[in-house]
Amino acid sequence: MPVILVSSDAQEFKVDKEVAERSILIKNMLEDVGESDSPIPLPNVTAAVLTKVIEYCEHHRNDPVQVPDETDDPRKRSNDIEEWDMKFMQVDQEMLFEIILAANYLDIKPLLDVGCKTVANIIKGKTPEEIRKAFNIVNDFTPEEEAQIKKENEWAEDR
Amino acid sequence: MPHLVEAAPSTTGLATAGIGTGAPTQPSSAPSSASAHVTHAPHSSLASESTSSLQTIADSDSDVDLQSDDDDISDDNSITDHKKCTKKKHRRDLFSMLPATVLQQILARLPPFQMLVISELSRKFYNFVVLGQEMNEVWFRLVVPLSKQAQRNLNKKQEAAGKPTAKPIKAMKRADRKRNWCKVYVDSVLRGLGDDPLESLNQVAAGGAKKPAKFQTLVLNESLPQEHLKKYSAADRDNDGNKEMSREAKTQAKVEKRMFYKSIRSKPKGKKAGQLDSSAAKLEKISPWRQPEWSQQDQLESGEFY
Repeated sequence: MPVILVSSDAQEFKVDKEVAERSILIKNMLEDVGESDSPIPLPNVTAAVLTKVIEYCEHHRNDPVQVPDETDDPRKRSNDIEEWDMKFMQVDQEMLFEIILAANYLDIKPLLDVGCKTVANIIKGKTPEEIRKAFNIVNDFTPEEEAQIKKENEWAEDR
Repeated sequence: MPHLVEAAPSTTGLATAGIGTGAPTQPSSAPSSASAHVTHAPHSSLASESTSSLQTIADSDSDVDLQSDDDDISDDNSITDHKKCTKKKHRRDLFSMLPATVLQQILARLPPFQMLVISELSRKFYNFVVLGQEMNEVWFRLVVPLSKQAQRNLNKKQEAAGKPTAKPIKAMKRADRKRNWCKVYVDSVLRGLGDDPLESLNQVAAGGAKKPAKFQTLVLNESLPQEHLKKYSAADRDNDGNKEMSREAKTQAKVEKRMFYKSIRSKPKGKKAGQLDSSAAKLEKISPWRQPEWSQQDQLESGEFY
């Protein structure tokens, strides 16, 4: 049975229930509403982003549901991105963050994980100045504060 | 029914091709099939509409898409330059705008040293990484597995020595939340002044490692606007006397209020009628030892005596 999703810019997307239910938010909504043809509004997701999200869900429609394991160290898993997912995440920065926000809103944990891993990989090995440049972050420290923080951090070795 | 076959994802912001088409998706595929399944709610037909909407979406994309657009209009360099300039002007700091939970998940995937590098980016990130509660949990999780390992080593040693083993460290508790685990981690592991970081962590767990240089955290507050400071200092100067008076008056009012509530409050549970409450009992107990209040007559007499 198809489910109709409506993006913030009023575009409608018909997707399989199985695909839509990759989102825990939509799954819960459907469970609450029951059998209904009424469209599901997603006011926080634009059509462009929702298209990407649906593409991801379509590709991973048969994946088993992830069970969170607290003993897993996220650092150990930061590099194990599937090839398809890696290509999927090769988008401009704005879209990347939009996908992360949408995954967070729609509660699609695997997509959020992939997004976070991608951003973490962008950051890895960069200096503060390079990161600022990459993300357009404004340095609002006073020179004294910056010097003090650098001084504190230079004691810390990368182990 | 949208259906996607095994295919490579689209690399640009638009990933409409492949949804429901059954055609393989190419990384740089044109979004021509989008109209097949995406419909504009207020209108019904949509070849042109979807193209226009896709055009606007493409316009809203930043640098990567911009470059592909530029290829199309490469004849006119001035237009390209102008476009690039305007795009750069509008580039937002989206990373800083991410919610704390998402930022936490991103930073938790970085090596600890890189997390400290993030704290050098801006005030927001410093407060988030070094002083924030979300990241405090991440730092705690970094310490816990290590301390568990350290605990096992310690237990082995103690077992060998025939001493009872210590309890393992468990989940983060309220008391742990008050502690700055970033500082603990940096001092004990990253700065690693001892030979073995696990050993130094044991010392921290045992009651503080004696390190000569500790990690110092700064409290960064947004400085108040100059006008506010001027206004505040002027008001302070004017009302210095009144402020003292009002403080005294406030204290007096507080004491009176407390006395009033004390007088009207019901007897505590479990007290018998006529039984004094603790404060009254104390007062009763010390009353024989209290200095008697001198009457005016007594004072006069003592004056005469001297």
